Amino acid sequence: MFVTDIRKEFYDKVIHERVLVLVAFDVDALCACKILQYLFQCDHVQYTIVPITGRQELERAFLEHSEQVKYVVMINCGGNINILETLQPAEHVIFFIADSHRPVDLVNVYNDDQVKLLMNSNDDFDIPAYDDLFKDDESDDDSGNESDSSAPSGKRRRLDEEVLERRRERRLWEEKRKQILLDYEEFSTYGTSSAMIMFDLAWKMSKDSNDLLWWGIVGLTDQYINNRVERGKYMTDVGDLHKHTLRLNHRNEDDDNTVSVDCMRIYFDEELKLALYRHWSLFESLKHSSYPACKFKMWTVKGQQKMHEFLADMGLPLVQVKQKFTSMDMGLKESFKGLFTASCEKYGLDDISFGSFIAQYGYKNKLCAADVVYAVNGLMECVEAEKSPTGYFLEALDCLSRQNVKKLLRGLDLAKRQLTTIMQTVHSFIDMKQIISAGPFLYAYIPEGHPDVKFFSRPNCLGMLAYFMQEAYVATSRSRRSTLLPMVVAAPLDAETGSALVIGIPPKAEESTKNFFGRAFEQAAIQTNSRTLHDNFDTSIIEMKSEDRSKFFDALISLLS
Amino acid sequence: MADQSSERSEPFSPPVGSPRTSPSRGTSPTRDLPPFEDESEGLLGNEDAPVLEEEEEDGEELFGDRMETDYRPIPELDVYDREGLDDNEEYSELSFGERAEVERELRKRDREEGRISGRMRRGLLYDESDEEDEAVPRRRRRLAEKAAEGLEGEDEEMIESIENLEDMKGHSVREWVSMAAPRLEIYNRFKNFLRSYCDETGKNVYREKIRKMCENNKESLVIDYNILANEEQVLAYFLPEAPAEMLKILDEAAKEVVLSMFPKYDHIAKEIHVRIAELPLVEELRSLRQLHLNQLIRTSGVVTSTTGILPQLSMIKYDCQKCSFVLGPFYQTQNQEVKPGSCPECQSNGPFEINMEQTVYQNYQRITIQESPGKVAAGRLPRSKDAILLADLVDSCKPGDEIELTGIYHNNYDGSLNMANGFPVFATVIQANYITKKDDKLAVSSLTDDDVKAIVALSKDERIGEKIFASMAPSIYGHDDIKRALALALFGGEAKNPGQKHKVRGDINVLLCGDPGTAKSQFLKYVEKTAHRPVFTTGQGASAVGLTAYVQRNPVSREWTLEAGALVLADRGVCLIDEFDKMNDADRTSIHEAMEQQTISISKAGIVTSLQARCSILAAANPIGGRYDPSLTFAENVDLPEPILSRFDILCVVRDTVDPVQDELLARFVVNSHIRHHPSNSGEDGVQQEMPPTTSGVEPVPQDLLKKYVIYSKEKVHPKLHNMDQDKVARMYSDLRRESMATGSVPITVRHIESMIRMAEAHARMHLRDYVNEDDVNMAIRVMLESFIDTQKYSVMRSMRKNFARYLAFRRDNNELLFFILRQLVQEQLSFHRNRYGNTDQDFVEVSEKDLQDKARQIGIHNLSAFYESDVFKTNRFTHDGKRKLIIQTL
Repeated sequence: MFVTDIRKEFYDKVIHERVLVLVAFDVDALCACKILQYLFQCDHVQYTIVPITGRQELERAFLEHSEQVKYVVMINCGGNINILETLQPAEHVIFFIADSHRPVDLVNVYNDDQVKLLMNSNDDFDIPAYDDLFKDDESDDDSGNESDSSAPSGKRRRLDEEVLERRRERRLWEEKRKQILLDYEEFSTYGTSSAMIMFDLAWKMSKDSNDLLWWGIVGLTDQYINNRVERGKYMTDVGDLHKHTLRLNHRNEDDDNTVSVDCMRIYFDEELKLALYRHWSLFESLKHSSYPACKFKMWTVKGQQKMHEFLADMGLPLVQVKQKFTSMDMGLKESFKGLFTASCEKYGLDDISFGSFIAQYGYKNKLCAADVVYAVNGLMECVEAEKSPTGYFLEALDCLSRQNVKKLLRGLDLAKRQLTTIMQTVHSFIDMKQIISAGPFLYAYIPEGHPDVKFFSRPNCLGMLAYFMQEAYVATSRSRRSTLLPMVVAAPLDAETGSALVIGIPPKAEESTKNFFGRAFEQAAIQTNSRTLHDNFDTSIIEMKSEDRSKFFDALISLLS
Repeated sequence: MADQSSERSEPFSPPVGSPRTSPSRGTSPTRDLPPFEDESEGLLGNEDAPVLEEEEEDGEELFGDRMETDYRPIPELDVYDREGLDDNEEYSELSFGERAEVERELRKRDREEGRISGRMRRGLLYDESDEEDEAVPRRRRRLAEKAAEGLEGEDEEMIESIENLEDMKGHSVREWVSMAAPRLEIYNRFKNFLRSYCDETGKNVYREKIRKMCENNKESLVIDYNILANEEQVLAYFLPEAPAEMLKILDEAAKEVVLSMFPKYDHIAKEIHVRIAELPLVEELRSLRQLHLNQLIRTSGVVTSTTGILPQLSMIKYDCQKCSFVLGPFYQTQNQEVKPGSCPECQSNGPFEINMEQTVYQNYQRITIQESPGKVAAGRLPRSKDAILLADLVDSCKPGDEIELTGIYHNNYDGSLNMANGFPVFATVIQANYITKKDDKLAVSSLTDDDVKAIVALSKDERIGEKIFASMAPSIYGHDDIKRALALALFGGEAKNPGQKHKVRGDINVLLCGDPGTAKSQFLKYVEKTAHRPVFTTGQGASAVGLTAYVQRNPVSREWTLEAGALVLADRGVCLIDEFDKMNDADRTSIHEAMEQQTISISKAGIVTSLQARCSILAAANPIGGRYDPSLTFAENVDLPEPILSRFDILCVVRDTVDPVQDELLARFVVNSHIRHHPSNSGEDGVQQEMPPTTSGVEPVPQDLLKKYVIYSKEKVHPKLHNMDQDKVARMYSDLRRESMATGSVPITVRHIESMIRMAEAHARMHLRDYVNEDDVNMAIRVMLESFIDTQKYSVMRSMRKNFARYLAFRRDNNELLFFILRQLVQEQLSFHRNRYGNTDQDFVEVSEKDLQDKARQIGIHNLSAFYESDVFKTNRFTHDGKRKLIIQTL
């Protein structure tokens, strides 16, 4: 069931208990976790944080800790699976789920006792009515396995008119239910970011501060950067956060009351779609950010010339642009954003800017929300095998706090490497024409021997690659149809077990983030008997055996065309 | 334009007497006529004529005592002449069209007169017939443009409309150009030219050029003089005559055009320089005379020395020491320093100090160019001349470059020269405007998208490896193993630097050794033409220091300086050494370091340093005694010590064997090649053009594309060793080492493992692959083995070939292999005949088909029918007789 008063129904309940917090591997979840952690620390709540990569791990982690805890908080995981069925928890265990994955599993929605959903009530859930799904009449013992309950009921009853009538009704109702379920589960998408929900909680408890707000902002920005939220929704959420920003930062304007520069200050600003440019050089950033790179077709000589022309048009000398942003000429540094917005229309970069936030503490640390997202992501999906995934998770969690600037800087470096690799891969794929239009969707496969293959064994990085590739393909392709095509990218996950990671993303032309690949993958796997593993919480990301790849894709093509 | 100016003149004409001489007639007083046109006399009244004449005759009188008398009232003269006035009515009677007609008529006449009188150069004038018609619309367009820009001001309009710029009213070009009105006209005309000039395809050339310039943040705009001469003859005429003034105007005009396209470009480049290319007249350095002073000239030569780059004052500001007022700015001219006289603030005469902060400097470099050795007249010494490079031209050439220089020929005062000669003479210097280097080498940046597309398309070809091998030195017949080795060396492996501590070289060194007359030097010469940064030396002509580096005392600065030798100059390129065996042992040892460590360490005369020499070395040597003796091993055949032999990755032995059929093919190839490549042979006069088939039978890659392919692959492709077959290499190595110990020919060392890896990488790079695969390793092993087996004694060679047959057979065409076997059989048959019957003049040789089949089966080939049909089979004059089961070769 949905929690209406998050403070009373959630926080006040867990406050004196031991809590298990299960956190998924994404930046939004990390930020939410960070906020929750802060709140728990204030109230001396005992908690255990366990990072979770997939469903199997979820089960294992729960089993491990199930004896000691009564309350389980799940962040960005578990919302779209039937918790009670998968985990088989004891009666007294209560789950609080803050998950941005949609659709939410219906059993979770209608379970009043054990599953509480911490979600924004303003979100558009489209949840089917209870009566359409569950029928409490007659001998239904379990609302979960509704479908097979008709057989025993038939045995028990005599065959008379009434029963026949009822059965007919029942069949009709069941068909309708099936249809409703199908409609409901057809697309997977995302809702309000969990970090924002958690910040909301902190605000309601009057414990909000700039730090918490910043994490909320980063969580939201993560969704935007990874294309998990539509622009409109993003803008409204940004509006909400903007109000908080003004409320928490208004003191600065007044001269008598100035805060020391060491305190964190957040302000709203128009931000360019240039990844990490504050910590890189403008030139590199232009080259490696998907939006300008695809607009200019940076992989051709002509495209590079075009970019040079663009820079000349803005009056930015190449020498300046190529050196580190921090060492750039002061005048240019201050004016370049204006120059960008003035010239970008001429070069077709109409929506290069988006509203975002900037945090500043001290003189040196000026961070843009998007850069932090890249950095945290870079740390979390680091490919150097020094530590376990959990180690990197904790490192990423650490770098979010203000004290650990060094870790953040390391994260920025890693993010740069990630972006460079992605750009190079896209470049070579476009050059070699390895992105194939397979009919109903675009398809690219990263070969086993590819030097950077380990980068793409991480879901987020693969997702970034997929979006980049799709945009690049659309930019190069002449046919208008290409914007309507979704994209599937496969990359080898583990050479020894011979498994591959497959991700599907919606077409570029579509505004919404609705993704139908989750179900399509499932069906294709069933049809071909492929050995697939739907482990990720995002249903459009699956693992499969590399050998099954070709037949799986054949099935997928026939399924979608 | 005629219509407009005459309309404007209309209201003025009645009060001002003669319309022809009136200065207010339009704004171009003597629009059509040269000054002092005789005609004016006829129009003026009789009374005026003496005055005019008087003026002309004794001009001093004007300012003499009788000066006032000129202005005394003379009633009879102070009335306007009726004849001069009255034709006004007739004028207004004329319709617009008629007037234009008349104007044109008049102009035509004037021009003809002007031409006859020789006042103007013939070539400069427009060809009236078509030009007249164009002039009007063009003028209008320019006005419309002006109006659109909103620049139309009253006075500007007044100055602007100089229609015939070529008429200089008696001024010299220099004076004329520096006057305000012509200046503006030139300015506008050039701007218009830049904006509107289109080539045949209708593309706006200079718009594109400006865009290109801005993309690269350059500040030089290259203008083709011939185009300028076609479009704006007058400007083109003025330009060589008064280059300094003209270029200044052109620079400003260009800057305005650039800024109109890229409004913020002045943040990037403060000034735009117009560079004049393709000036038609090329003067020799030797033929520069007084006539050329202050003219734009174009000359060519070799750069012999360059100075360092100095900051030159271009705009100076001074601080007054007394009142600390900042004077200036003062713009410096090229030859003398401008200094302030007194301070405007405190009226003191100084002293003034240069204000370091606000003064603007520009780059300044002096180079000396010398006549190219080829152009010096027989028996004379080459002459040299100094040239000044400013701004972005600085460092555009380096000593040794052959350049073409366009610039202004200036003279400057040189005190010492005066002392020497005893009377004032001037030293001369060329102020460079545009420099082109004769041989601009290819670089990756010069590859266009089309090139890249062609290269990638080529790399998709399955047989690209063989194609490349076949297109190495296509004018040399046979020697496939050498071609393969050279191709691998051209592409090169990947240099590694584990832990940044020691480097492992990636370049492949090749030694060719063999009988005289087997095109070894030709191969080297071919590589010299194809490779990037080649340096060619011969063993006799190179000394140890000449190859590495030497320390020299600079004659000017008296300091010890380091001069690079051949290997250093070939850094990131190829060093070719012919006649390697003729080199002194002492000299040869000096390149040991360069060949493996790829550095050259110097410690001489207080200079202790290490220079990079990352080049691959291709050497050619003759065996001892001139001919290669197959019964001896390689080491015994060549007078080269072991350390140096082991540094070569590939050793190619070229043997000159006698084989009647091969020799005939070779001869035919050479003759054909001579016919085809004769300088007077245009290639269409019926001479057969067909190339004899190469042994692999693939189409060679065009040489230009091949060059680009090599450059692209070297820059872009860095093959990685990724799950390589390590066992295979290891096994190979141990086998080779065992054989080497047994036969004692060439030592096999750890270097050879590295060689194999390098070759595998080179082969992968040839296919633009990012990682080394099975094929690459196999090819590397094959090349390695062939190189090794070649070095063996003849007796060992055969057994060894059998042992390693499976490696050797890799990627070898079946036909090639079969052909090889068949040839062996033929040889056997021949020698059998010779020994048995003693007669050698057979017409044909018969080989039993069964023998060939047996041999073929041993190497796993079962079907021979394709071979009987192949080109190789036929061109070598084999025929297959299916009934008698014989293969016959006609000799």
